[in-house]
Amino acid sequence: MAGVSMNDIKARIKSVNSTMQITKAMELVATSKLRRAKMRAEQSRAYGEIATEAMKKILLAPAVADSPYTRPSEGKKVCYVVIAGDRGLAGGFNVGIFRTVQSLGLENAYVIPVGKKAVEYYRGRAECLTEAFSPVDNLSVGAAMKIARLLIDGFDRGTFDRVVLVYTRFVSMISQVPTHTVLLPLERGAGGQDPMTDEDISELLSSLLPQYLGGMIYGAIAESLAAECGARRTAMNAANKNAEEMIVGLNLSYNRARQAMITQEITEIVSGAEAL
Amino acid sequence: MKEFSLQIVTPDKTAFDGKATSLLIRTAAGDVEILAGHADLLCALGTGRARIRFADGGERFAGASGGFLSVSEGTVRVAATTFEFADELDLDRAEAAKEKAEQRIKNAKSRAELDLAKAKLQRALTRIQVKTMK
Repeated sequence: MAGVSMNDIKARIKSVNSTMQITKAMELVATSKLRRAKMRAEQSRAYGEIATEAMKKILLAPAVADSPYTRPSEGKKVCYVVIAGDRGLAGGFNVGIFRTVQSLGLENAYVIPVGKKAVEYYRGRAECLTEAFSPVDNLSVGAAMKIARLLIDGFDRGTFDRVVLVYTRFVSMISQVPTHTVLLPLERGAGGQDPMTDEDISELLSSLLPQYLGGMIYGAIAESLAAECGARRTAMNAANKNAEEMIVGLNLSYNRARQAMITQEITEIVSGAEAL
Repeated sequence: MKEFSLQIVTPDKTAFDGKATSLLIRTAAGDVEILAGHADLLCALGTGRARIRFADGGERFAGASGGFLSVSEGTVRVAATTFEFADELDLDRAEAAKEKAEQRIKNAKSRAELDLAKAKLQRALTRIQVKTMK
């Protein structure tokens, strides 16, 4: 008998096959979810662009110079909004996000984890402000607004003086990049004049801020969901290919083992006949 | 009447993108009507009814809340927190939201809670108003 028994190889082939069925199904699901998530991400981008543009205009005004929201951070505490996924099996998607946060420095920081994986990961590892934003899959605009209010509340009270949003950017179907943006304090543009408005600029700023932040967070969530589906699709695709390769290899050894057995049997018969 | 390009977006969708001749919308300071050639403007939106008029004489009503209105170089952009045209609104849901908000106002414990509930009530009332208006 050659090395492994034929039954063992047969069992391996069967198990690899059933794993492949699962990964194939997951790839299909991720592909169809990706299409929807991508559309959602694209639709939320328009709001992000318009809101950012308007915010830039407001920030150019000299009147916002002494707003508490533009005051440079004094190195007190940081609050991270970390957006990860709900499930694993998406390659390095969740790990990539956690690593990015790690590289930014977790000492002296609060975390608002978004998504099941983020909540699980930061429980006990960091000071979490809330665990309410999970699963990430069906978070609404309202939830994003809630996060924004939470952030502004903490910022106003001086609990932290810097807010960083960490999420995965959906670059393309095959490329997803973990990124971070500083939400607060707002960065002031240089020079510029007052935008045309009837309202007091600082008042305008504080009334727009929650909506601006909420929009940015919602956009990041939509973007991250698309990235998660993309990452899962790529990972599952690779798993399928690996499984296929394994099956080819296993089939080969199965056939070899079978051939070796036949050869051995013939040899035994022949030598048995000769001995007579 | 002259047309201008109008873009209305909310965080989760683009509600409208096209040409219009007039936009009436509730800002934090009261209703404003924007026509073609309006000077540059930037202001916060309140909660209320919005009306868009088109070159062919047609008009559409919607309920809008939150966000801001920006006019720059002849393009009008509205980035609202919610913006729903009358035909997208669900009356039953709005009625339910109204009742829930009223309950919350009664049970509100803090100032922030009360403000939030009031904003919710205002949104629900706007939706009902837009839907039942004809």
